[in-house]
Amino acid sequence: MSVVASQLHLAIGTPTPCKVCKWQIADPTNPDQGQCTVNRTTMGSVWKRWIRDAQNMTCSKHEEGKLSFRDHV
Amino acid sequence: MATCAECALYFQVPESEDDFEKGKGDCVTEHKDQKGKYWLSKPVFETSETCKAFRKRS
Amino acid sequence: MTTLAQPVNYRGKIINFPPAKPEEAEIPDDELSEHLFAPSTDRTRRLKGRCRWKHASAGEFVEKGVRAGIERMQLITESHKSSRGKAVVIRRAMMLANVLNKCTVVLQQDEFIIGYHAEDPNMFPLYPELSYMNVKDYLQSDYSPLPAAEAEEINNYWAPSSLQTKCEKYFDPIDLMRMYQVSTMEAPSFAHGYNSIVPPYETVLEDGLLKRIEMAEEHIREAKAEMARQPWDGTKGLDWIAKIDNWESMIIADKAVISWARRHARLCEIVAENFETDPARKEELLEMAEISRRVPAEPCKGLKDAFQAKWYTFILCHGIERYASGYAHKEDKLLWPYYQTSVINKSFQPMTYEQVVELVEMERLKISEHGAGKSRGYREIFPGSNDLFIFTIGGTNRDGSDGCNDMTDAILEGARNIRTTEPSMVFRYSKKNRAKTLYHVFECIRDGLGYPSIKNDEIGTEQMKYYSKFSLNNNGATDEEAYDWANVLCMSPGLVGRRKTQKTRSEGGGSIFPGKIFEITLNNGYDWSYADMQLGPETGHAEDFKTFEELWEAYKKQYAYCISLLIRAKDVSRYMEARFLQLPFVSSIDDGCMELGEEACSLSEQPNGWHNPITTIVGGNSLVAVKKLIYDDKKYTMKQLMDALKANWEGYEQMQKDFKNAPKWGNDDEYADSIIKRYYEEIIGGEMRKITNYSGGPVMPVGQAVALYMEVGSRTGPTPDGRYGGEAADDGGISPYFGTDKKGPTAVLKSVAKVQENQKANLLNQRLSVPMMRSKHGFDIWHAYMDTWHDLNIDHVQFNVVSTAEMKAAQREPEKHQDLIVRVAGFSARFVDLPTYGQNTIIARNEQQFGAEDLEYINAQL
Repeated sequence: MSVVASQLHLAIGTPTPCKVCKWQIADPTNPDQGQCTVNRTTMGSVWKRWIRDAQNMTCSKHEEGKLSFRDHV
Repeated sequence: MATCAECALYFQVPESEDDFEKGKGDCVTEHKDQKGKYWLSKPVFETSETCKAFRKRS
Repeated sequence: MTTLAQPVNYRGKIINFPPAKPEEAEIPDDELSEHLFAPSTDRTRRLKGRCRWKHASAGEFVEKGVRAGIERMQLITESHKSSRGKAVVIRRAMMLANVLNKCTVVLQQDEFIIGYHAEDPNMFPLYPELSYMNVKDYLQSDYSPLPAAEAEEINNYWAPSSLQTKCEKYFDPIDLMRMYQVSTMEAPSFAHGYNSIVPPYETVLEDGLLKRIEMAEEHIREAKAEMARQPWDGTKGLDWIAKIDNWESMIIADKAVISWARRHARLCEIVAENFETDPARKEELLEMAEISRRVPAEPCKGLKDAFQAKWYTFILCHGIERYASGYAHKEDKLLWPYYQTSVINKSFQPMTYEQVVELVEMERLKISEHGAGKSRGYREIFPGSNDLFIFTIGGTNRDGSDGCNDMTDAILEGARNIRTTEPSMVFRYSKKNRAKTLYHVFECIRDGLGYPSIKNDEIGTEQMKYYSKFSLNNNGATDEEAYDWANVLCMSPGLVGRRKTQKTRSEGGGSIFPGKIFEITLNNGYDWSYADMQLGPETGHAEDFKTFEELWEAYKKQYAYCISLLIRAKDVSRYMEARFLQLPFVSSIDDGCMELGEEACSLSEQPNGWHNPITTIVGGNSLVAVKKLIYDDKKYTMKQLMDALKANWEGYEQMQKDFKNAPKWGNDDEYADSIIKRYYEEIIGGEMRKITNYSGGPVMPVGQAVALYMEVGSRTGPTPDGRYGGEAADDGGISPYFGTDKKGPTAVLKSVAKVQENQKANLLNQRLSVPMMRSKHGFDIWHAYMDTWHDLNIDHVQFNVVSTAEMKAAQREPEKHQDLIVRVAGFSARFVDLPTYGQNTIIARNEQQFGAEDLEYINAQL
């Protein structure tokens, strides 16, 4: 299966893991997993995507940092 | 090495107390932060080595 | 200048709405809340000014400096290692005793009620014996206990024997993965450690722990005598072993609690004699010491005793022996005997009504500082608050008479004065309630606190009688005891009193998300929009459903799969709790456990099973839109709908409008309401009540929301009700989707009243017009509305009375609006501590105006 860089994909040992991406927030239950919040509608809604492996997944929208609670859900 | 027994913040547990043990005391420290003052009490023994809160009993 | 409500032509008269308080005419709409804070004393003003809030939002703590402590983890681990070889329940008691004997005790400036559950008032404890994932999440966060390496070592020590590990092996890993995502189902309690309890405060206040110790000692003597009877009968005699261990564990726990309370007394004395310079405060510290020397060891003699003993019991049951959310008790009934002693008879701890109000304010601020080491998932879903702290007042007494008293009024007055988000409160509404107290209730609501939320007194009482029939030991609530109920958390009634109360969340609590379940039903159980995996059984693709009934049946199967799995997870938790997570202190204060020698998690006398459907109306409105536009009118095909949903309606704008404009719940629309009534009663309640839980009773739906309507909304793709992917779901239970209830407040009541079967409780959010409620007619309109609500046999209602102007001003300048409180769902929140996403959902709620037809329907006397 081909990898689309702009979409979440597995990349073992990636230097840009979702775990440190500013659009990522931890999974509600399992801290090894996460949630991607980069998809935001014009109305201000956040349409999340589940991250199976926050240390080994990435995409081309990766940005390091941390968002304020106010910009999350 | 100084011990808790020499510290002004060490208060011997009286014999009448439920948790009395020989040589046991309360280490009571005062703290202050942006929200205000508070006091913490933790059980210690008079023979324990002192900590950084040590204040020589006068 | 305050905006006034538009005049209404009602019964031949023009009704104007001038403010009830003329001086409010000069207050701009966007700063009203900042004028409502009115602490009763300088002391409570100072206490609020320095309150160590622990509000969380989006999983983060809002205030700097809040973090997890390590002390409890260290002390339970030390005891666990040194108590090997003893009975598990004895080890649990020894762990508690080790914590209480060696923990740091805390005294803060100005406080009268003393006691905290961590080593520093900016911290909260963690519970590695519950969920290893939860502690690991803290270790990876900015709030990690320190030193982190030691905390990690402790978590690793507990992981193999944690509740989570003990339970996980009985589940398919795929099912666990589905539950842990919190999209169709909430994660089970063994994975997040969240819990709730209703402590039997009454025994502590009425008996004191010394008497409880004597009772346990007497039971042990009797048990040993029974064991010594001749001839020996091993089929009966061996039962005494576990009972003796349970009673022994109770004695260990209670002795440690008494000693711990007296350590607080000693701290007060030491501070008074060595640190304090103000003579008045010195005297007060010595009074506090005197109280903690007597309670909870001895019975409470006055109101100050009762507040202090209640507080100790609260932090033990909710923060030290085990974590539990909630603040369930019937506070006015519990404190009324002590109020009479101190305020009316003045025979012990004499005080005035005004001093009681100050005590209420101080208690509220203690709760506001109470930190919870809850999981990330739970830090996300009560944004703008510390945790769910909810108590109950009002209602009726055991003889059916009005349950309101002067303590009820003091509680309401203190809450209105001090304006804190927590604790929230529930008022049990009966037509017998006195007008004076109802006015206090109205004032809290009118001032925008969002509480009390209102529960129908008769419905709750009848429910306790109904569940009693399923009692496994034929000792459920008597008809008299059925009157003694409070909400366990946001919504569900449960018994309060000396026994038969809920001890663990496995009885009730936890959520299921019908909105997301509907989404995956359309896709053969597959979740394309969030997790990209199969989330439920394969029940067919929407395009292949020839009739609406085929869709209905597929939805029902998906829902049934989820709810069975969820209740199984709760019961497996309970099985393990009873064997490995016993609660010796809680057991010691429950009359049932004391009499029977049973452990609190194990003993069930009054079944009270429930689970919370959240996002139900997204599913309901979607069913209505699909039936109308695809199966009845045939305006669109299912294939077109599925294409539009996959595109998030992009390129299908007209179609989105048509689906958005399809009939919606909450407008007294027969087409929508008949489908949604059937949906609630046949699927949501009907499928759930087929289940029998640990306690032998049915599990019933308690429709509510907390902030899961936001979280799950953000994990749910576009839905046929016209919603876009990621938009919030409906905000609670049986509440209309925000902005779609367009026919006024009484149309909402008429819709809601149609759902009656197979429900335990259903949250109804309503937002009322600020100028109308603050006008001279405000109380009369609200009171008439409430009587109508009651007569329609509706279970619940709660109100936001906050203007859009003020909420938007707070979005622009949060620092100026710290006292703006809103009702989110079963809790109230500080508006500025909510994420923008959540703030917008409050603003989007329809602000209901009462027109002439509404006033006529409720028979308002204006």
